[in-house]
Amino acid sequence: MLPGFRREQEERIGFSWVMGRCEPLTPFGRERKKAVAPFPATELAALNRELDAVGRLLDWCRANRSWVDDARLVLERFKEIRGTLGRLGEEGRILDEVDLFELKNFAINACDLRPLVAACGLSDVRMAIPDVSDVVAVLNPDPPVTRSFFLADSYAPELGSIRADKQRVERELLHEATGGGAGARDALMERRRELAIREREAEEQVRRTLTARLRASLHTFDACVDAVGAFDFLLAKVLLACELNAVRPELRENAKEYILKDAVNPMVAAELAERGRRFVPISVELGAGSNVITGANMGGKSVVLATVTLHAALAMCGFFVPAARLEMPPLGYLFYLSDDLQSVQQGLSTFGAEVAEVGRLLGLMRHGVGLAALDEFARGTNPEEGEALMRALLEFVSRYNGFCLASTHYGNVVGKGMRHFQVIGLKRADFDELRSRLDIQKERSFDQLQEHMDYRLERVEWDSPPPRDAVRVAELLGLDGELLELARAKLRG
Amino acid sequence: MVRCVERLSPGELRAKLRALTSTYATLSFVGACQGTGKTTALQAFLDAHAGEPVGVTSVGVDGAALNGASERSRAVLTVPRGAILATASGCLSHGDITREILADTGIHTPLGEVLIVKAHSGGWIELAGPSVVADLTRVYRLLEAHGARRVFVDGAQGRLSLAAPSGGGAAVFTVRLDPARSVESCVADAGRVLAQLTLAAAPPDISGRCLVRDDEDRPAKLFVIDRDAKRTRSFATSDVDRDTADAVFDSTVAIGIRGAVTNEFADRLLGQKPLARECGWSGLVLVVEDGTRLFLDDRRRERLRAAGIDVRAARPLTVACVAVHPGTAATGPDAVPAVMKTLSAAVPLPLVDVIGGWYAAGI
Repeated sequence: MLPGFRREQEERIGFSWVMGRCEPLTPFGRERKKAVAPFPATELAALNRELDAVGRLLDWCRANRSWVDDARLVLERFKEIRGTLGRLGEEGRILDEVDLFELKNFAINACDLRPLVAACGLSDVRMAIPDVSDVVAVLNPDPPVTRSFFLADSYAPELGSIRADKQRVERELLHEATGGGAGARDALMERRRELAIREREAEEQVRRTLTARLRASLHTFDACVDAVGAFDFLLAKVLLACELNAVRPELRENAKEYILKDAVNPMVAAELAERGRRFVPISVELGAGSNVITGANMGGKSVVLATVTLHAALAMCGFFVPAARLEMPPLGYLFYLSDDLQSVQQGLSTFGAEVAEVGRLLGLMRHGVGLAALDEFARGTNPEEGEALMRALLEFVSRYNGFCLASTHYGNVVGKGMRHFQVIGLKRADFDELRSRLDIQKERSFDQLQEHMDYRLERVEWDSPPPRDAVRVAELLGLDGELLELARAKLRG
Repeated sequence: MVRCVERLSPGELRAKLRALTSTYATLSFVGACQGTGKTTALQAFLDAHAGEPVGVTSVGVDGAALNGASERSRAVLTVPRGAILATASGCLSHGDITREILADTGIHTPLGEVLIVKAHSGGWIELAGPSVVADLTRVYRLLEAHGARRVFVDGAQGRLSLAAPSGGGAAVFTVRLDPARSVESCVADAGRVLAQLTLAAAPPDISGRCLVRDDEDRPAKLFVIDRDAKRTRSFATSDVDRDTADAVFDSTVAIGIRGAVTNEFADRLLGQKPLARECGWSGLVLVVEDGTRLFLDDRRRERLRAAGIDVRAARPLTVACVAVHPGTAATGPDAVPAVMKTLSAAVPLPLVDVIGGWYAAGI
């Protein structure tokens, strides 16, 4: 989970959707994915190392497609063995055959993966798979190496002789079954039972010896689990980057802007694709302090906020981003305020919930540079005070170095020095033509309107008035004419 | 028709059991209820096939464990040297065979993951395999891949669906007479279940459309199959409603269903009046995947029959024989042959008592 984010917020910005497509193949990789979190802003070097590793492996994968298939094939074979390792670590515990079978297969898989990881030239020591060929040799005493596990006769001479006796008795029993007497058969059965008990005892002795030998390799096993998990998660990030056509985000300590170019929100893009429509890539350059988006209803302001937040979150978590370019400083916090109803359900009003969240934001801002996205803050109170609060908030956050991107319909909140963006929306649309088209295809008015909406952002003067398209949009969507006329009269007078 | 009931010597019995099942690659032992002698019968057939590379598994014992069944109901079998077994890891320590773990399956049961194990010696072992039909099919394949040429499956109580093994298989149906009921009543029940299992086959062109193909992404659940293939309609759910009824025309030959046919399904089907078919449901074939998918009581069967609906199977099952366990219902030297004679009048399949050696040939 992203710190401070609720599950619904992660879903809303598309983070959960993206994480759902990042698919490590081992239990160890999946656990790393589950624990994914932004790197602290103070650990930029570590974050850049992670991004470098994604980049190097991405280049390698693009040039070596069959290597990817081979690596995935090996990774898919790894099973959860940490329970077995836990038992191995218990002093006095003797592993059973299933435990030994699992450890053998893990070791064989690690031996198979080791040269593959070495081949791709990752310098990251976290991903260097330790050599566990000695473990394979212990658990596979007689060549060739197989994935099966058997307490072989060669482990202990006594075991071989007991088993030979047992087989001899079984042959005699078979002979007795076809013609011998009951007394002789009972005696053979008893003999066989004794041999089976001795076999179990001898096997236990072998298992005790094997457990002791493997216990010496416990740290190697643990290191192997870590390395496999790290590599698996890295490869999952790389394959995700391939799928999303993602690029390396550029994180610089002293960057003064958050620059996003041709960014895609993959979740929204997938939803649009299902309806046969295309996502219009988003480009925006945020400056330190307050940045404001105004624009038409249905113009995609919320999608911009979600996309900007998503890209920052992905970058800080060490993922490549689905954009042509992302430049930003390391961010100490991510904050997203939207109109989800979680807090309302908890008993607060929409406004009350917003105020509580903004209070949390102010606390975060005092502790470093971060990104805050505010979707129509204070829309739930009276417009006069709402506008004042919005304006005050924008001025207040401008005192800090973080990036604040706020969308609003209020007309008089952007202060001098703030960056002001507008969704082009229907600014350049011919309303008469649109109206006549929508008259013909009334049942598709919503789709038609979206088709004519220009979702691109343009930077405008700080004091540019926000578009006033609400009544016209309502008309295009088929709202009652008399009501619309009344609304226009109110606006005029 | 009265059949001859004869008593076979142990050697003759083994030869007979081998002959009855030698053409089948998989043998599932199923019974309509608990304690019908499935494991006893399986053991007898397994012994009869001694020397062959066999695979053995059992449907998970979780059902038996949950309903408080006795230890005797658990699948404890004596397997020959070389047998390939599929059993839960938790069962491995219960037995005295010398074993090699060959592979894991990724199939998990309450007793641990199902493992493929080779018996390097003969001996007894407790078996608990998968409890889902799809998993069982995977286990068959794995057992075969590790060298088993004939796979024996000890079924679970009431799990008739497991009588439908993959291609080339047959079931052995086990019957045990209940001392609390009359022989006639037990025989009638067995006859009913067998009639269901051995449901007649639907015409091949219709069967082909009802069975799920590997390339189907989201298999349809219900079909209204027309003589003209172009007019065949498929539905995503098996809920019969007005749409389904409206899709039935004079040229409709069958309604195919993938999944269980329940009493509720029959009621809904008969409650819908077809609009475009003058003779209603009469003459239509209701095609189920196989006989194990029928969960109808006698009244619903009769209602379907009265409506003119003929129930057929897309994949008919083969029942190789019926293994009869006379239980305590039959006492005295003539009791077992008498029970066999009563049963033989109701069931045309070969009957065999694997304990006493009584045998009646099939018709």
